[in-house]
Amino acid sequence: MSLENYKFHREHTWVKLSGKSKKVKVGITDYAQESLGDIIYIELPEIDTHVEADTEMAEIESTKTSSPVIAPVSGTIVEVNEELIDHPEIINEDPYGKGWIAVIEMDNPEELEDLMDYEDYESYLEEER
Amino acid sequence: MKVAVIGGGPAGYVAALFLRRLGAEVLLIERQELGGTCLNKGCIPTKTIIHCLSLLEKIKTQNFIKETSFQNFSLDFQELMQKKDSIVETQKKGLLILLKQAGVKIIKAEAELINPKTVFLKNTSEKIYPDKIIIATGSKPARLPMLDFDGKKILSSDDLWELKKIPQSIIIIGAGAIGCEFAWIFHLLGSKVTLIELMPRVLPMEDEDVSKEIEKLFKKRKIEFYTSVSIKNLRSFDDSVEITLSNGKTLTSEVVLVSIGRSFNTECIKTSEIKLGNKNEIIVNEKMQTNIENIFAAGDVTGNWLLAHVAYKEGEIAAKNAMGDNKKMDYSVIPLTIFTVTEVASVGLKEKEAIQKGLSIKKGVFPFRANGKAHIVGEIDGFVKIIADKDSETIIGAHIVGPTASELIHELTVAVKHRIRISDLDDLIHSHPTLSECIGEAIKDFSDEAIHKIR
Repeated sequence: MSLENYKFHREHTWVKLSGKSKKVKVGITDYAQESLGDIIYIELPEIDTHVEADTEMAEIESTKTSSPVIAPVSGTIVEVNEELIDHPEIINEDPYGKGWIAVIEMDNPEELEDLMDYEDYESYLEEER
Repeated sequence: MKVAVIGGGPAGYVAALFLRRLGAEVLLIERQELGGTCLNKGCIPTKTIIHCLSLLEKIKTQNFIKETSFQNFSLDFQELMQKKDSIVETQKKGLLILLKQAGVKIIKAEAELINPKTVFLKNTSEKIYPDKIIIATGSKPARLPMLDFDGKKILSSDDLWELKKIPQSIIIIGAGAIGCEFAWIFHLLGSKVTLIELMPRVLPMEDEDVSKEIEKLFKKRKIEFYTSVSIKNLRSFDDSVEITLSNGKTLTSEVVLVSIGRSFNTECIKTSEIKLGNKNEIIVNEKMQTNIENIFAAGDVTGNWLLAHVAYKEGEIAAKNAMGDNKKMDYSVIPLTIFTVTEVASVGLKEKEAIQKGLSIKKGVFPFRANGKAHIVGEIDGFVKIIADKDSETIIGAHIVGPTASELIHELTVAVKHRIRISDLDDLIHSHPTLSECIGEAIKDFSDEAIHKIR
C-alpha cells in the first residue's frame, strides 16, 4: 500500500494526512506491531481528552509484552477505533489501515514538520537495528 | 497466674494458646463465634468464594474442553455458600480442638471490663478477677456518617453473607482491599458492579503502579469505577438505591456495599481508666500493653494494621509480655495481600514513600506476560516490581500484581526483612517453569539483564 500520505514518529506511530484537514488518523507502524507480537488488548484513549505529542496516548498489550502508544502530534481525541476493543488483532493484520487507533484534531499542524516521511523512517529503522 | 482473654479471633486465640504454653490459667471469653471476623466473615469465607468462582471461570474459558460437556456449567449459589460454611466449620472445629488440647477454658459470654481488675460476664452476671487481661475484641465495618446499614439495601461486608440471591447490580463505596475483593466476587457472580472511591485511585494504600494495573484490569473486565468522587446524595427506593456523586453522575443499583474502613469494638470497656485514641481504638505501647500495667490489647482493636497475620503476632507478643517477657512488636516488614482475582501483594516501601523518605532508589520490574508459566496457567496480567536503595544496593520494597502474588511475596519478604543485597539474589537460581522466575528476572532487571523481557 502507498504510504505517501503518512508521517512517522520515532516512537513508531504514524499520522495519516487527509488534505488540509486538522483531523488526522493515528496508529502504530508495521515494525511496532511486529515487535509487540500478538496484540490481545488495547486501552484506547477517551474521546474529548487532550494528548500531547511525545507522550502516552494509549497502551497496547501483546501476549509477551505491553507498551505505551506515543502520540505523534498534540491535539484532542475526536474518534477512537472501537473495533479494536473486541478485535485488537486487527492492528497486527492491518496496522496502516483498519488497525488505526484514533483520530486526533491537531492543535498545531506545524508539528507535522517534526515527523519523518516513510523513506526517512525506513532508514531510521535501519539505524535502530 | 490467671489471665482473661476477651475475644476469640486471631489475636485472642493465639494469645490464649501462648499463655497456656507459658503456664497461665486461661479464660477465653467470646460473645459470638471462635475465629472472629477472619474465620467467620472475612479472610476464610471470602477467599473460599473467590477461589471457587475463579475456578469456575477458568473451566468455562478453557477452549481445550469440549463445549458440549462444559457449556452448560453454571453456578449453584446455595451450594457455594454451603461449601463456604463447611470450610469455616472445619477450621472452627480444628481451632476448638487446639484450644481444648491446650487446656484453654472457653466461656461463651459478652464480657465487660468494669474496672481494671474486674471482668463482668453479662449473661450470668458473674464477676471474674484475673491477674492479667488481654483485650482482643476486634473491629466491625465502619458506617458512613450519613448512611446507616439497613441490612437490606445498604450493606456492610458482614451483611453480604445474609444475601439469599445474587443482586443484579451493586455499588461498592470504597475501593480499598475489601471493596476491590468484593468487586471481583460480584463481577464473577454476574452482578453489574460500580466502585466509587474518594481518593484519586483504587487501592490508594498500594504503590501507584499497582493501582494503575488493577484499574486497567477493571476496565478490561468492564467493572465500572469512579475515583476522586464523594457522595452528594443517596435515595433509597423499594427495590433500588440511587446515588448522586460529586461529579454530577447519578448511579442506580439494587444494593450498596459500604466498605470504607473498620471501627473498633471498644464498647466492652466500661471504665474510663483505659486510654482510647480518637478513633476509639485502644492505645498500646510496642509491648502491646495499655496504659494500665496488667491490661494488654492485640489485634484490630488496637487500630494498627487490621490484618489477621498481624493480629497473630500481636497476640503472641501480648501473651508473652503478660507472662513477664519483654518482647516488642515490629511492624516494619509486614506482607500485605489482596485477593482480587489477579492477586496483589506487597511488602516494605512503596516507590513514592521511599522517595519521600529521601532515599535514592532504583527499580527492577518484570511483567508476568513474559513468563512461560504465566501463559500455562492462563494469567499473564501484572508484574513484579522490586525497589532497592541505590546507595546500599539492598532491597527495601516489593510489589506484585499477578497470579499467586500472595504466595510469591514471601521470598521478597525475607529479602526486605534481612535487607538482602541485589547481588545476593542475583545469583539465586529459580526453578523453571515457575511464576517465581519473574522475581529472578525483576532482580536481573536492576542490571538490565532481564533477558526474557521484550523491550
